[in-house]
Amino acid sequence: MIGKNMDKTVVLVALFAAVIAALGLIPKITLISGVPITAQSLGIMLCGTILGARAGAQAALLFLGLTALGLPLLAGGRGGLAVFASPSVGFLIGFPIAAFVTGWSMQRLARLSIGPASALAALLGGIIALYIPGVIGLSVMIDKPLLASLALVAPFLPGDVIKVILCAVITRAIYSARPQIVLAKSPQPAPDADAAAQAADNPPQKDEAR
Amino acid sequence: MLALTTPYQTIFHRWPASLKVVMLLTFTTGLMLIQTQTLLLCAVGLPFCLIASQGRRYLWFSLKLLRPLWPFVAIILIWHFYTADLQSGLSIILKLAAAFTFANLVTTTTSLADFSALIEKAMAPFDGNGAQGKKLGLMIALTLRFIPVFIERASLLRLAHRARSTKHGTWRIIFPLALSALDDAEHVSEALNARGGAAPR
Repeated sequence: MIGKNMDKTVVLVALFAAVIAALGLIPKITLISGVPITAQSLGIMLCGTILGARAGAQAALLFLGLTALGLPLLAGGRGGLAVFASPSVGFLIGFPIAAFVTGWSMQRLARLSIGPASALAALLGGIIALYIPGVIGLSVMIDKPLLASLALVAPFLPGDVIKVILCAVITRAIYSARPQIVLAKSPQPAPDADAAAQAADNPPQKDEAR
Repeated sequence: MLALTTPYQTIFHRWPASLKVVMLLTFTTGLMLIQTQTLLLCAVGLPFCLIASQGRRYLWFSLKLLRPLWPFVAIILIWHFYTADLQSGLSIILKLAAAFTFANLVTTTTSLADFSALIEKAMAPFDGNGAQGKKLGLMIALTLRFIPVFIERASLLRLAHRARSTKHGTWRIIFPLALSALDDAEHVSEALNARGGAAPR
């Protein structure tokens, strides 16, 4: 069973790295500061809320690794080592940190129902934990004080709040349809058959009815 | 699940994976640093010339791989038309296409086994019994495989939605998209398990 769960984790980590990459195909909007708005941070949030801290951070790291190998996976078809010399480098380094914090918060918030828990976790991880390294990186790269750098990325915040809401809606929908896949919600996964049986016994949401 | 390697034999198949990856890395990094127009045009032409040198069928095969980029090319053009900065929009598109094509050149001529072997070799100094390297190589191969599958699934769902709906709210496809991707992952992990699993027990 351990082997089986590990195979599943390996495949899911690869899948989510691919999801982050695919979300990058939604075109970016670049602010004057040179940091783009992308849908990719939504992918990072989903890594945390669905895969949990460890596997979520692994997926984000895998994605960064592939980008560094030169694959054009970042929003706008950017990739290669050049992106690690761009103003948004702090946000890239923040990706695995953000996924980890999101997943970690998700596991701590297990008492809340899935929607609010994932919204809160995505807010803590996908915004706060992402912006700290992001703003520091920006301020170093463009040689501006931290507060000025923060002001430069502040226009992203409304978009990020939308992403947090989307992340919660998607996580909730996935949880109601495939509860056994939301690893973050069950830190010690029961053997698959048990988990599936349990899920069948208490369908957590009524979305199927719609 | 399909493999992205091309059925047509090219000279690049015989090149070592490490060389191709280093070339790709150099090319994409260089591409980002280019500022002048002439240099950009030359650089953008390079991957297409390399591919064209291997025959018309391989060129056609590679050009077809660019198809997923079209909607984004359109959006970038519209965007830059409105901001009256068409030139930088065009250079974004050219860089995008060139980097994509070069990456495709490496992907289509390098088997996933070669990729995994390369990663294992690169990780060997940090990895006692080699289990971590194998796992990482497998994850990289799976990710590279999932990306085109996921994009293709998204465009199929978008078409299905457009055929049946009068509304334009295609964000709705996100739910079936997410679920079908997760089901794919489930099938792949079962297949993996049936073939002995991701790592030695």
